[in-house]
Amino acid sequence: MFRFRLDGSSGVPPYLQLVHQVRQSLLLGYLRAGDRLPTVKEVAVDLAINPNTVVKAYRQLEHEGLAAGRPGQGTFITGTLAPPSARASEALRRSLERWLRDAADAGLSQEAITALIAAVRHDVAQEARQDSMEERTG
Amino acid sequence: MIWVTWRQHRTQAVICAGLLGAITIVAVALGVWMRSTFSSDGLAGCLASSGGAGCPAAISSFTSEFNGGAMMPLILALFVIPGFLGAVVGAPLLGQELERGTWRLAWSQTVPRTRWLVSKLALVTGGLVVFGVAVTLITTWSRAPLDRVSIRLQPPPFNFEGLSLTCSLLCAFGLAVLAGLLLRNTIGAMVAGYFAWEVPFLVVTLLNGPLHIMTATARMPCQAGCPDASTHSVPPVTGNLGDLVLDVTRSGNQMIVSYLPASRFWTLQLIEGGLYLAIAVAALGTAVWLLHRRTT
Amino acid sequence: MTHDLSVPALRADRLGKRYGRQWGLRDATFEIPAGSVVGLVGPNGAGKTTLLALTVGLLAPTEGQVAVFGEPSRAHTADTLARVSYLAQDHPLYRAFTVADMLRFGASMNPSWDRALAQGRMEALGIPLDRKIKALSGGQQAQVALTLALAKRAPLLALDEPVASLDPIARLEFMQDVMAAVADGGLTVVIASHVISELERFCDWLLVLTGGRLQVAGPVDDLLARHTLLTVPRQTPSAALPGASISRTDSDRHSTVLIAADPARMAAAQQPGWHADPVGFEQLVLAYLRRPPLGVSRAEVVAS
Repeated sequence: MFRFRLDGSSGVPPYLQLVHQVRQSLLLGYLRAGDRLPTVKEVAVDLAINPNTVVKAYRQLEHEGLAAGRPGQGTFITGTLAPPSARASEALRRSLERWLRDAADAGLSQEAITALIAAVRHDVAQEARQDSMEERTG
Repeated sequence: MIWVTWRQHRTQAVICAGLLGAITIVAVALGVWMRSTFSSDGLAGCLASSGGAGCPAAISSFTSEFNGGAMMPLILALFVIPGFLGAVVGAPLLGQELERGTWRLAWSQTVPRTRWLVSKLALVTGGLVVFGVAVTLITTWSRAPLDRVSIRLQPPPFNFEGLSLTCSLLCAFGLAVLAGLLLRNTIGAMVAGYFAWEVPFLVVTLLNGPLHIMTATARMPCQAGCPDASTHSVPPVTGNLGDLVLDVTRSGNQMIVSYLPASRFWTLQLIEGGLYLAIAVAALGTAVWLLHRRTT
Repeated sequence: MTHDLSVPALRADRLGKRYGRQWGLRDATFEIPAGSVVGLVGPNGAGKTTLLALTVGLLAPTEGQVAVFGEPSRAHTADTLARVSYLAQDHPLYRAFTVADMLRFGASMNPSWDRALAQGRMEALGIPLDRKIKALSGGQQAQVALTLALAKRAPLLALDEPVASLDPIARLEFMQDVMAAVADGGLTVVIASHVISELERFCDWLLVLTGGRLQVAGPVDDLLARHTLLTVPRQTPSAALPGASISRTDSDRHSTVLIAADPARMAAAQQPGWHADPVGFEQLVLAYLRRPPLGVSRAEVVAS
């Protein structure tokens, strides 16, 4: 059975943590199409979390086309997350290397580089969150 | 509620049963002993033929043998038991629930708290009545020979024959239950309940003599020239061994005797028992009413 | 998990309770849908126990009304008592009773008692029926108390600081069992606690009480969506912000303000030099707990 984990101090809402873990496992190949996810009750008891949270996570996965519920049988993985193509990965990797060398040339220390990456990542993620929030409640 | 009440008072019930057993053993032993002495002293025959007038010495020796030493332990126990037992049984009923916080468990089930209390009180009171009546019957049986030749209108016998013991027990119980509700503490309620019970107990015991509303007066011609008839002659001047003679005065050729006739026993028992019972009912009724009206 | 929204599990209407001259709870109004797990948060003495006691039927309100599944609660009546299962603080039990005695107590006092459930739980937990309550560990006692509450089969379960006295493992096992009961369906739970950090994973509804007043009432998701942590220049007055200011921290050149604003207004009001972040559950609750209780005559009810 697929087992979830919960990090109470990560600041990420529990249901999103569950969604991420499914996505990650799909990427790594640990979950495949046809696998059955644990029942809502099993997850709620295992992690001691509200069953509604699990329902929400499973609904999100259904919305993303990654899973589907079959009445009376459970929730099953339907989609896959294609790992990025080897070429796309290679291209991204090279552009990252270039950027890092540019940053070093511009005089940024390692800490400054890390901080800059974290800040930009955060801003981009926030934009995406606000967009999806507006989409749902607006 | 029957099982719950039983289970919560089980230890007390066992103690009462043990107490009853001990009392029974002592009372039966005494009773058998008394009866054998009674017959060996020939008192039965004497009473039948002369109503006791013919054997004053035998009667005196019989009464002093059993009124004093032998019955003492039993008598002391019976003096203490109603107040003590009533307080011990009554105090935890509400006192312990409130003290330990188990009221939050007991009163949040599907039985409302007033019904809970009334059921419990009814069952425990019933048990105490059974205990009281059993003790009364056993000790009355035990003392029967002595009762034929002496007075039972005063304590000690007055306190454990008839209604007195049972009603006294219920009085102490009721006061302790109320104390438990007010003090929310078991030990405190036991002490408070016991001392509250002492008040009617002392009133009843010390004022037992002056119940002169019930006294009768008789005029009797002096016989053999008005001997020095005292209140303590055996048999008493009234001729009935059970009468309590209070005062004898001479008036010319007659004696004026004021006394409590033995036949007044049950009337006096009803008065005393009634007093105890009234207090018990008032205390328990107050406890139920207060609980019903409590807003916290 | 479907909620029958037509009948709220718990509904309070200007509920208030006065003890002598002090108000333990005042003017509480909220409506909780069936199937929710509600976190009732507040410091000690805030009125959590009072609110639960009013819900259970152990206390009569001084003002207002509380209704469970549509039926108004009338204190100390069998109907009201049958609708809510209550686990009081420190899980009171009769210490001289055996576990079997406690179960029999539950059966005697509740017509709706589910004997199979009660015995099944004791077996599953490995708690021997002939052991005295005082010989059980704290965690086991809490589990027995929880069994008494669950086997009553009432549709609303009220837990007053249920895990406060338990070690972490006992805590986890206890809450696992509560979540399992919720997952089985047909149960609404209210958990009163003053430990916020653990509530996030359990609760989808939130009630915050301070000084007897409700500071906030609403579904957790909505509350998190409608609050933002805004970083603004120090001089920005609170009035210029696109929502009610819940808490404000001022530094030399900037201020961080937790505001309650719907996302549309927030997006429209963004200015250069302003930075918006989402609020975490614990942060949100703490901010409302710290808020002075005066001037709030009605709870800030966030419609679901």
